[in-house]
Amino acid sequence: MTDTNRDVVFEAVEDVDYDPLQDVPEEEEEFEANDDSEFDSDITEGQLGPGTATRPVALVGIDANLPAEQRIAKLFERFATRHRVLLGILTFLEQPQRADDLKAEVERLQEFDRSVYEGYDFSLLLEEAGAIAKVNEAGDPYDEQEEAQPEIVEIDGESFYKPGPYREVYWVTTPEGAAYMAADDPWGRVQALFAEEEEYLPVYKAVLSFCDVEGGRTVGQVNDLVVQSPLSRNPMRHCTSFLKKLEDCSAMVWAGNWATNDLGRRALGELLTDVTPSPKGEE
Amino acid sequence: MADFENLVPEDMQERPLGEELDEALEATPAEEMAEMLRARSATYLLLSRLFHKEVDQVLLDDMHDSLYPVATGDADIDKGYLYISTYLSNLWSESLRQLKVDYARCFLGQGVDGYSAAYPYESVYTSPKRLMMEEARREVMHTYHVWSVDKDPNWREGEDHISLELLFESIMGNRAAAALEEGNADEARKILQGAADFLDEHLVSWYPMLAADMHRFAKTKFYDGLAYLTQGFITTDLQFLQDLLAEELPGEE
Repeated sequence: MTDTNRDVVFEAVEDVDYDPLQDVPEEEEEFEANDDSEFDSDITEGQLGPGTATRPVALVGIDANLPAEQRIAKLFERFATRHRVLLGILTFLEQPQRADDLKAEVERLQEFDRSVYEGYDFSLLLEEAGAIAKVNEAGDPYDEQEEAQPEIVEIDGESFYKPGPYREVYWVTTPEGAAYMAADDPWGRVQALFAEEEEYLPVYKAVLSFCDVEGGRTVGQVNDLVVQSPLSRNPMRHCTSFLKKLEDCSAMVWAGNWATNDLGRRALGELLTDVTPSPKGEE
Repeated sequence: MADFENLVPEDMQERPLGEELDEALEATPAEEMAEMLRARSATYLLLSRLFHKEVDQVLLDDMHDSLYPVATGDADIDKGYLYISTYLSNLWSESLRQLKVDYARCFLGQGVDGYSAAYPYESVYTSPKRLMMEEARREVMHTYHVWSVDKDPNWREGEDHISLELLFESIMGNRAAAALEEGNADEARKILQGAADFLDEHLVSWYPMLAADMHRFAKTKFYDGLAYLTQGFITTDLQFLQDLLAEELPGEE
C-alpha cells in the first residue's frame, strides 16, 4: 500500500446507512482470538467459470443478427402493451433530443401507468432493436468506443487522474425506426380487431360510446357496464380485456380513466354504425 | 447489539491543509501509523460499499469529483484507477442506470447454472459445486465471532459475501488504529495479525477468481476497474501488513 492509495477517500460512503457488520459484545472467552484450530481453514482451489459463460445478453431475447426492421417489429410485438409509449418515443425522437429530455418525455408518456421500465430501459430496448441511435450534439453518430480520457493533474509532485465533465448524449430515431412509425396503422389494427372479434362488436360499441365523455370512465364504471352484457359471461371476459384491446389499437387512452379518442370515435362512426350495443342504452 | 463505531474514520472530514501539516509534524509514530491504518480502512470501506449494492447518485458524484493516483507502484491498482476514472470521464444522464444494469448483470446474472455471473461469495468459488452457504461461510462466521463482529440482522446475504469480508478488514484496521492510539501495541499486533491471516486465508485466496469473472461479465469500465483495483489493493495490503508485523510496532519494546 502506498501513500497515494490512502488519498482516495469518499465522504459519500460515510453518509449512507451502511453497516452490515457490527461490533458485538464479547462473549466469554469461548474462543481465543487467532485460535482457529477448531476450524479447518484450508480452502479448496475453487474453480473459474468457463470462458463460454460470457454470453451476449439480449434484453428481450431478440436475435441480434436479424435486420433492424424485423427486430423492431418483434420488439413492438413483445411489448404490445407498451406500444403507445414506444411509438411516443419514436415520435419524440424524430428530431435529436437530449437523453435527459427523453427521460422526461417517457415519464410524461407513462404518467398514468405503472411500469418498471424507465426512459433508459426503453432507450436500450429501442437501440438494441435498431429503432433509435445515439448521436452527438451536431447530430453525428455517437462513437461509443471514442472514450474521453481523464485529465492528469500534478499535485505536490504526484500525478492524479481527474475525471472529465459529463458528456452530452442525444437520441434520434433511425431510418428503420421512422419506417416502422410510418407503417404503423392503428386504423388497420382496429379493423383487424373488429374482424377477429366480430361477435363482440356490440360490447366494443357499448364501451366506446360509454367512455366517450369528458374525463373518461373508471374501470369500475366500465365493468358495471360490461357485466350487463350476456356476451361477456360465456366465456367470462372482464372489461379490461376489451379496454386493453382497444388501447392496443390506439382507439382508447388511459389517463387515470379510460377515454375514447378520435380514432375510437372514428370507429364508432364508420365501423360500428349498424351494430346494436350490448348492453343497450349506453350510447 | 452495540453500535458499530469504528466504521467511519474520524479523520475523513476535510480540514485546512495547514492544520493537517501541523498535526503531522507533531504526530507520534503511533499516531502516524494509526492514521495510515484508518486510511487503509477507509479504502476497504469504499470497496465494500461498491460491492454491496449499486452506486447511488451521491456516491457517483463524490467519485466523479475525486482524484485518482496515476502511479501507485502496483499495476492492478493503477489499471483500476485508470478504468474507473475513464468511466467517470464519460458519464452521461443515464450512467447511474447503466451502472445499476451492469451491477445486476455482473453480480446477479440471469442464469441458474452457477456460471452466469461473478457471484460475490467465497463459497461459490471454493465449493466443488459452486454453491452458496458452504464451508467458507462457516469459516468466516467463526472468524467474525472470534473477533466479536456480527452481521446486521437486516443483511440477508451470506457472511462470506465479498462486501462483508472487505468490511471486516476495515473494522480490523480501525480497531488496530484505536489500540495504537491508546498505547496498546500488543493488542494492535494481535488485531493486525488477525487481519493479515484473514486476508491471506480468505480474500487473497479466492478473490482472483471473482475478479476473473468480473472481467468477463462487467460491461462497464467501472466494474472492470473495481475488479482490478480490489485485486491490487488486497494483494499490496497483505504485503503491507506482513511488513508491518515483521517489525516492531510503535510502543513495542
